[in-house]
Amino acid sequence: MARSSTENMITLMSSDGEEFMVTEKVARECTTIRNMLEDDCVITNIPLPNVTSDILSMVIEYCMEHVAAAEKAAAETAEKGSSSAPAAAKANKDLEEWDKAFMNVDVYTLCDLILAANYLNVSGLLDLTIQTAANLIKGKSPEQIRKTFHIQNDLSLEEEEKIRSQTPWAFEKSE
Amino acid sequence: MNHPNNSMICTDLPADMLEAVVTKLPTVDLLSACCVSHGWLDAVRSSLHTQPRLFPWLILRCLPHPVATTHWIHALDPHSRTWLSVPPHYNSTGKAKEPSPTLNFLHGSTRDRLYALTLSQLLISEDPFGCSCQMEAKGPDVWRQDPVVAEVQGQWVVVVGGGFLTDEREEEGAVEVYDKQTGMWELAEPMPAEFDRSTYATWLSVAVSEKRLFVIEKKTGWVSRFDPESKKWGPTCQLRTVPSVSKWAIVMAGKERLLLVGAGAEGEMPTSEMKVRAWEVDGDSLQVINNKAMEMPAEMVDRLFPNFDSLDEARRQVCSVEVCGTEHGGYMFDPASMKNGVVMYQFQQSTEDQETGRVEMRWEWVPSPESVGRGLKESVAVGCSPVLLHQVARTRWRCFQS
Repeated sequence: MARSSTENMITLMSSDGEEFMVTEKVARECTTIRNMLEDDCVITNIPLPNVTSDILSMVIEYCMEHVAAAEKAAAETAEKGSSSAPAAAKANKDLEEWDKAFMNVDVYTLCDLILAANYLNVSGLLDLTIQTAANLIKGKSPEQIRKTFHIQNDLSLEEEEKIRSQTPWAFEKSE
Repeated sequence: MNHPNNSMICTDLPADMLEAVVTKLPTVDLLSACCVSHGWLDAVRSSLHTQPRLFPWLILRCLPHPVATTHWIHALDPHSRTWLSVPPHYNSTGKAKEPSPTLNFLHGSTRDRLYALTLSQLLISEDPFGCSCQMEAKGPDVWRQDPVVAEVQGQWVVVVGGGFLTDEREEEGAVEVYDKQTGMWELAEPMPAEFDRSTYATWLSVAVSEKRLFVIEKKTGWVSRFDPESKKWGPTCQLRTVPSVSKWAIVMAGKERLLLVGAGAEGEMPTSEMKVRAWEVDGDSLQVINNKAMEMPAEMVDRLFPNFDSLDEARRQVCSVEVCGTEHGGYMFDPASMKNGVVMYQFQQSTEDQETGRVEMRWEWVPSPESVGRGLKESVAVGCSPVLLHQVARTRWRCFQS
């Protein structure tokens, strides 16, 4: 697959019909798309019926930021012959900060991003969103969790009491 | 992971995604998570089933001063690197039989629990926090102080050393074995002569495999093995892989395979450096499997001994590292100061050496909770055990993250 990778453009189409032009490099951040491109290297237009335009634009934003960061790191390494540890650490920290700011979204968007990251197989974004969701749960009571995630409680009082008191953890392997 | 009835949960997260989320949670938060809804309960169950949390927790029982009657308990959840703590007034046993006996860690092959030993009885807890008593038995015959107590193969409780010397015969290294099936104590072969005068738990490092008990003398490196079935010791040998090691410790690294840990100052004063190394030892032959040591990263050794450079030679010589863990991994620490933190290690299969089954170690620094090591007279007992969800539920944790 010889290509001038920098300028090879791919069009991604969201479920609501919006088109997004991205470089192939950015598109390849999504393992699902990468596999499609490897199966069929002439494909330039990819419909994504499971992802809305709002969410797709966020996924693309994430991929672009991470591709840019990786390119910058690679350029610095090439320039100096070897990567300087403090600079790399700073770049990592900057990217972490960016991720953190990027995750400042409501739970609906967060859940949609988890689904999209899973469908498109963007492992970095999937880890980030899953961890963000886990952080939202930490230290909360069941009621607070339901409120945070807008979940209907389908457990009866008796059931909840039973889980609390008896904890039938027979499924948990103890060596 | 099919939960056909719960395909739309957590706003609209499918079951496998929800499971991925709860898998990231500290164990204590699973207690809340499983009470959210049926879907969440299933996700917690599924997560614990597919990825059982077998890595042992580090458990510290801190006695603030020698005459204190209750402990601080600190437990490190390795899945989230978070500490749970129970302050002293929350953890009196609350049982009718007060005063509560002194609890110590009972060594086991996959988990440590707590025991209390007096001449009249032996108590063993069901969990590593001492919340409930699982076993009660008559006490052993020899009066002891600071013995090694271990549970082997689920059937035997072995009590080693720490016996009081009497005029007629020396009982310091006496060994007694309690058979849970018969409910009887039996006197076994005493510790080998190499352990004379150092039979107290303080001087020994202990590891328990599925079948046997291993002890090493911390200073001399004499190591031996006790088989509770035959009630015999041996072989006994000295594992001195590197001359600069001044303190030894052992822990399990696999089935009938030990990890020998050696710590010591290397080089001439004033530039001598603390080194912590580990070797795999075959549990059957008690021989070092590979002389190439795995070494704790210098940066973590520095964090364990932050004042090492300002110590004189004699003090450098007494710096030591202790270890506790299971075949999944564990923790190394400076027993004289738990204030800063501990080094968590995990075993992983060596990529280049797959045929021999040789392991590699991954090291990680974990800071101690705020209240550990603040008091000068504080003593800390250290144990290690995987912790099940109901055991977390039963303990009254107070501060969740330090």
